[in-house]
Amino acid sequence: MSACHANTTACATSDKIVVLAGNPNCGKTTVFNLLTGAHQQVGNWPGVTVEKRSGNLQLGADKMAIVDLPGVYSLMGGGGEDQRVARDFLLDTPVNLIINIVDASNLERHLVLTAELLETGHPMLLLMNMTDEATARGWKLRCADLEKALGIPVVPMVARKNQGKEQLLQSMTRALQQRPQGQQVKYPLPVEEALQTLANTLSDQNAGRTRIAALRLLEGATEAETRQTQTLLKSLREQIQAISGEDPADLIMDRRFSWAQEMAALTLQRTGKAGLRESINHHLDRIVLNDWLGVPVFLLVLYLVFVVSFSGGNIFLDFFDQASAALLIHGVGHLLLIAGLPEWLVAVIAGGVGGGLNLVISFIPPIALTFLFLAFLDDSGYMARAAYAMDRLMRRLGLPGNALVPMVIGFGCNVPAIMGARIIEDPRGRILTVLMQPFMSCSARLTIYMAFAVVFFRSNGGQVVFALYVLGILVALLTAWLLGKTALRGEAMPFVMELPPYRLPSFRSVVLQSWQRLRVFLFRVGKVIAVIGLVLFILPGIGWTNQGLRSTDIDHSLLAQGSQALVPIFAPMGIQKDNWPAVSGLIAGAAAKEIVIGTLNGIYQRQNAADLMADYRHPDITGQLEDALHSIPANALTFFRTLDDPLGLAAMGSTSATEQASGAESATLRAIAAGFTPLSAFAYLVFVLLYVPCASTMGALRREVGWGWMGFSLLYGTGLAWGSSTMIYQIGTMALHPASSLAWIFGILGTFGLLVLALRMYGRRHDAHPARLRKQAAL
Amino acid sequence: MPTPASPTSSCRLDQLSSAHPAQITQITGDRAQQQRLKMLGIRPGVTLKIVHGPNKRGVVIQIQGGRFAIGKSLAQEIFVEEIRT
Repeated sequence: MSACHANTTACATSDKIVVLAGNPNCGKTTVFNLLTGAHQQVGNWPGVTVEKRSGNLQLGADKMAIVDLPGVYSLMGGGGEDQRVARDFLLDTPVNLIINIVDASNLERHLVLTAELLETGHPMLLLMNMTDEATARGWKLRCADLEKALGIPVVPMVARKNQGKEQLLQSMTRALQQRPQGQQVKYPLPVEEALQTLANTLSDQNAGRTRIAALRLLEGATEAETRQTQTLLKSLREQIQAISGEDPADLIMDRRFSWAQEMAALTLQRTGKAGLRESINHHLDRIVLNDWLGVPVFLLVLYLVFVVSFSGGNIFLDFFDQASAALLIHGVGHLLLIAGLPEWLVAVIAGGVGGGLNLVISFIPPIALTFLFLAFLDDSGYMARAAYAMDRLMRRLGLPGNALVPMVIGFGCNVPAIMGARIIEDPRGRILTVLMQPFMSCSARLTIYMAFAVVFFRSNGGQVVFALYVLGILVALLTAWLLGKTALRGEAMPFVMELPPYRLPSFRSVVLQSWQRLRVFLFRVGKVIAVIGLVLFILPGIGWTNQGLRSTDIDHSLLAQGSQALVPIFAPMGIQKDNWPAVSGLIAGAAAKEIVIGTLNGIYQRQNAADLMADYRHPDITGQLEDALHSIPANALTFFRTLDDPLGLAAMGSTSATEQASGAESATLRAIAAGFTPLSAFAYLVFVLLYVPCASTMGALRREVGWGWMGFSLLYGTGLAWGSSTMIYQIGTMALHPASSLAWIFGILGTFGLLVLALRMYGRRHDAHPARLRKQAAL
Repeated sequence: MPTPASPTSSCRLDQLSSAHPAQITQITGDRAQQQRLKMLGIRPGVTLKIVHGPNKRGVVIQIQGGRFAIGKSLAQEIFVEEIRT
């Protein structure tokens, strides 16, 4: 594996690779943010660091790539896919310096990894983080003594409060020159002899890495490559067993533990009793872990995510929407007209691309706040407790409690949720968790709900949208349950998880993390919109006629012809032939949900020939910007009056407010009203909720669980979407045509039954070959 | 360690109901599971304190500075001995 896997540019220009390694919850990401600031190349998804990522640091004359790895407990194995990523990197990559970060308040446990890292033979530096927490527990740290014993620099630090950065940078410069490799752990004589024998047979060119390779062989973390080594290994193990009476792996591990204990005892000096922070932890845990309060507290936290994200976001939504419309649509249109461009081109650029961007920009506030809140939750130490609180409930569905963490992230965006499933250790649980994520209603889907709710569910829009969110969660849970009983049978792994202490997350870290994620979101959507926007302005303009491809009006265009051809498939869920734009919206939505309303907007606008040219000729940009600015205090007032309405749906009563919220122009809303009935609109929304979330989600699925499961998810999700919406529509219209409705309903139920049978057969076959599952998960 | 001052009682972690610290004496179950616990520093010889439970969900323990939630099925595999001074 190369050091520049995700990012060739970083490595091409920098010659030194510095890697951050440590146990989970030791504050690696905070140190990473502190060192690289805004100079990070890969915007990883926060929530959990499940991937390595890198950023640049200029230190004197040296330019270096800082690599942040997921937390890992041991180089010898164990843990989920995230830990494997870290382990592979540390073992296979030639790095210039390892910065081993340890939590000073958990020193003994964290030093076990230090012992293993020293054995890799890389130059190393120990960063003693969170010294304030150790002090609060009544410990004094003797870093100089530890430094002497380890033979590598030891730097005390409180990364969260930005204390100790200067000393760290100085030590890094020195360590890069002096390449300190430290004192390795000495094992009992029979083990040392066996390691020597093994090392002699290993033809690894790098002399420094033979020790770790030999250790991994002896501990059974890797398989011997040659038959010869295998036999040697077997006899060495037997020798050790005979002399010491213990399994060599246990012997080695026990020695590392006792070494860590000695080092910790050397460093820590008890000076007083545990202080206030310990007691805050204790009291908070009494509430959060309480038998009765655990689940309600979790639901309350989720509710708060919605209040802060949606209602809070609404304060700024109108500003972003109106200001970007003034600048990108009217402003750009005006400039282009002045520049003398033809009207049709102005319409394409200002109306198509500008209008598309405007739609995305208006959703920045709620989405940014969702990301901010999730980053805060992750840093606070709460999520592990929520996982424990929900464990028993999840276990009944055959899932481990920590499957909950990705699901919560899924409310923001499905892509990081799928990546987040890497924290789940057993392959079966991980595949199940990944397959659940596409049903979690992400923030992009809300835009579609809002536009429809304002037209059809004026008085009960809140309940309808809430029902859709709940439906998504239920379908996700039922999917996991169904697959767990049929295709992926087995027990969820028993629960054990570290509960990190509660921490007030650093402002800097939370903001940086959310910014990284928002940047990815904007970039991704911007790209899609630019392409689709253009396509949408070309496709509706040309069509297949008797004389071949000719420019036509929109109702006879390629877009219309293609969509109309697909309408019969959607007819059972209530989409009529002349409502073909709804089908176009769904096709665009398979690429990204953010553009569904934009697509409908574009088509309906053209059908109704809305003339924006007058606006472009005489725009009132300053006036619009002023209005935009005034919307902030007005919306802030509404926010505080409607704290009990987290989805901001009280505004549903006023058409104009929600119009702006959903980014749809009133012409579009009128067209939606003409094309749907309340029933078919609801069926359409259910389809939107359940079918393919977006191209990026499918890409993430393929990366995490392979082509096979991605294909399954695509077909299953789309099938389920079609089946559910058709059922809803047919049950609702049963009175009109009972016979055909019943036929549809039984047809769908029968097909579903067949699917269940097929899944069971698949499961039976795979029960015989559980290894295949593991291989798939490792893809 | 010298013999304890008062008689000790050995039991499973999910049955331990005491504010006193206890020492892990043995962990049963399959090797992968034992390994998983060892990584977290939950291994024979260490001293733990109950933070919450044990109950139907499991138990939350504290070992030095770290807190761990352990599901019931896993807690049944951990044997402890109460330490009374």
